[in-house]
Amino acid sequence: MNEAITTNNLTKHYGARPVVEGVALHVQHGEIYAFLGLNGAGKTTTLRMLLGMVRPTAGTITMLGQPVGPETHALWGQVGYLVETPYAYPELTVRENLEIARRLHVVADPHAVQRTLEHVGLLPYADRRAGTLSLGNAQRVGLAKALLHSPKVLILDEPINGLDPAGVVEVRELLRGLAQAGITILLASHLLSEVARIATRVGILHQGRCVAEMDAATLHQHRQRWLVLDTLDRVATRQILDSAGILVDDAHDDGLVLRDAAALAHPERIARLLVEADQAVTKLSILEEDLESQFLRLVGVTAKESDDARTR
Amino acid sequence: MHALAEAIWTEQLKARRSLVPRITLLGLSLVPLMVGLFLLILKNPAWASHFSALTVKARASGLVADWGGYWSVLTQGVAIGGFCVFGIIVIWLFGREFSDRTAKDLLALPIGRATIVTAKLLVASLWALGLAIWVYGLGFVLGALIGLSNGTAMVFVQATGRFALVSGLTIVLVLPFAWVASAGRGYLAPVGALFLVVFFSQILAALGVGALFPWAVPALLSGAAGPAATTINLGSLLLVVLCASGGIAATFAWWRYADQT
Repeated sequence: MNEAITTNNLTKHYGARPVVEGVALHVQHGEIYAFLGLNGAGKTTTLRMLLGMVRPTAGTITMLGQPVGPETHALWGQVGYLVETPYAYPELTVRENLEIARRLHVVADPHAVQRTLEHVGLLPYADRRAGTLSLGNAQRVGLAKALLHSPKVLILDEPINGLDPAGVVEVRELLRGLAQAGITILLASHLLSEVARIATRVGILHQGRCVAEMDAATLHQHRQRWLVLDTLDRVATRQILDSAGILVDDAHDDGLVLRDAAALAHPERIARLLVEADQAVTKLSILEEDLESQFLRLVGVTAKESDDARTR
Repeated sequence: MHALAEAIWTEQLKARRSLVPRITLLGLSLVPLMVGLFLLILKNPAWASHFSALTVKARASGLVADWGGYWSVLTQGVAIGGFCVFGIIVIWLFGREFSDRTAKDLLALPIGRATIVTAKLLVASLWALGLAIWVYGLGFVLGALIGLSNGTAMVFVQATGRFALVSGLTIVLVLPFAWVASAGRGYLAPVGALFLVVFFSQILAALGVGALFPWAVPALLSGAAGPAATTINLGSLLLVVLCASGGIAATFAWWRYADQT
């Protein structure tokens, strides 16, 4: 069995309100699997069900070959997690907070705390009270607690929230390194560009359902592209293209928009065609759909609906 | 067993680093200190004439300036003041995890949630027991310093037995607040419940049906409602046991079954 996490028909209803509906996850060992979704899509509830914090209304979860349930204590020794904003005991130092995590995970090695402090770059703050840390360093404490017991599976909810750009790069490299070492990482995030950089596979959750699942390369391939073209005489250009059998899809202030696959594959042929017809080409560029637009297209909502969802 | 020891260690560290142990120690120490002061005033009226307001209060309290009266008031202090202080300990140990939003770090651990709950309940009980012993010891020293009369062995044996029984019942009766703090996810609900329980204990005891309300039983046993009410039947004690064990079971069940959203 090569799956680190498997869910089957995972469902959660609060009363009559469905929050997660029939999610089937298949996360391979060593994979960085990212959950994308708008606020309220069911990402955190799904992660909490995976961690046994919320009981599914229906469905099953298997992690590292063991069914997840209220009595699966031993499993949590192999799973690290960070759910939503991390918090620590504010009056305790960073080191003491990690010492508590070490003891609660029954890690025999007393050096584990020091090693983890170094690993996540918290050594300069080791003896600072956790309550005085910046959001970024509090996030590192959360990550440190998740990593302290050398887990085989990491479940992370918004792991780069609050980190500065250097911290984001550090955590990205840290997660890549962990995945290369064979650790399975399941993360949920709304930071699409960041997820696209590190995830090997992406699941898109919308209104509690997994509406799409693909590997990172496919996600990139599915991004829409178009050619924007402008000349001194748009009417003539349009006629030339029409007569060459190339469809102009749209026209706006920036120029004519072509989505024709052949035109996208060989824009130089378009340029040659227009130049040979004595048209002065002032613009010729291929634009690519940004991740946000691609995401909204995949989940089938408009930008306005997305904004509404965020403000709800 | 090793897991429980680790969980207890973490609870003691959290407690040691907070102000709550010092506040509870100071709060409960006020009981023997105030009673001692009143007795000192009653025993030394000439010296106490400098503190006229306190002298009036001390005389109005109806305190008897001997060991028997002293232990009786101390026991009442533990039954009422101790109930509030012990309650705060339990509420803090459980409620802080929700208030500080650290509860989620206790939910998916190899040592299991039941071990966490057991450790918290044990630390709360031992902490409250320690405070009760401290009050007993401090009361003993203050009584000796004041030079109280009628300190026979019989008085001490009876007073110690009653003090221990009242303290023990008070400690077990605050444990159900662990469930209120957990289900209420913080401090507000259990503190409200604590006030309600104190209020109803007073009302029901005054109406003469305090023996039917478990939380009124320690105060009745201590003599807070008068010497006539200090005899408690087995049914009342059974109610206390049922209430405490029900609260403890509810706490374990909540941590085991409730959705942690």
